[in-house]
Amino acid sequence: MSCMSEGKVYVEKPASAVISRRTFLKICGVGVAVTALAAYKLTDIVLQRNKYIKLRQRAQYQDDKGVRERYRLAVSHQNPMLKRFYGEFTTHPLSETSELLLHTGYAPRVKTFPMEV
Amino acid sequence: MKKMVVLRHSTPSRIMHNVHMICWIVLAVTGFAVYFKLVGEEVRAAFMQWHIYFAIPLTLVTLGYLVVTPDRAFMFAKELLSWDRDTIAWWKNLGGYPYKFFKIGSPGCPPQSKYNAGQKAFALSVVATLAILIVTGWSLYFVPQALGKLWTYIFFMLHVWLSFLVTLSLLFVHVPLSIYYWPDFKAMFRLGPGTVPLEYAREHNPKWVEKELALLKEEGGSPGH
Repeated sequence: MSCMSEGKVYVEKPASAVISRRTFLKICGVGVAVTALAAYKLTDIVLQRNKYIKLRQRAQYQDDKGVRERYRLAVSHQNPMLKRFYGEFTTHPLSETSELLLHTGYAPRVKTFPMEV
Repeated sequence: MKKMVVLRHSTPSRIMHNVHMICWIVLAVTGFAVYFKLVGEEVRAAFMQWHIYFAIPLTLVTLGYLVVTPDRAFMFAKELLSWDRDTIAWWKNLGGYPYKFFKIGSPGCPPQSKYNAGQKAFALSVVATLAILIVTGWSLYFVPQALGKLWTYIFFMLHVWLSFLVTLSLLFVHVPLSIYYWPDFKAMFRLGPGTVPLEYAREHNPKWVEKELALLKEEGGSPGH
């Protein structure tokens, strides 16, 4: 069915018939401001958290590099200590056992040790 | 005989809807196949890539709808958030649908606007889910380490199970009802104007026809506004 056979075409009244341009711009402005503030805050949080993660990654890389240099290894996964660990515990990286034995947990120190102590 | 029609779905709305539909299908298939391990490991890895690729147009078309046609987005939001006495009354017998399909309850349906109360509630849940899926999906992709273990888990679970629930409701409610209302279905998908007959709109959306429509053009006459 094409427009050719249509006698009358009705459409919804435009947004300008419902609200004024000024109100519409106000709503858009508030929306943009809220989005920008939220994005700024979230970016700040992400950067803060990534800062410590990157420091931790750098420290781990240094440790790993030390082991590779000591044992003259080309790649990290040939680390004999790790191979022995996974061999003896018949496990694999990110398994429940390796997570239990190798991974570290963190807790907010302020809550663990109150200031009075 | 001259026909009177109503523009039910504008071009920006149809583009948004249809891009969303295609992306949603691919994202649902790839996402659930990966989560429920319905395919082999290598296919899962490929599906995960596709999942990311199809999330890009889904996100862009959503943002594009807001940025390029803010007036349409405003009218859509206004329609979804306008709940009056008739909208509430629709829920008393679910707009007469149980009677229509199963002869349960009463057949009456209070006059509705462009969308009936059920469509409004459903659209609101889809819009909210879409926003949550976009935020959680890209957060999991770009900054999982910054989220931490707990929030990564919460975001992942929200991402999976909200999309699962909405996909089920799309499959078993939205799709069958949209096919049942064939003129509306054609207005959304045909390669022509997104119009429905005026009589059809008057029957299903009397308040919309009475209060919110204006004459766009008349064959052989002058434009309405």
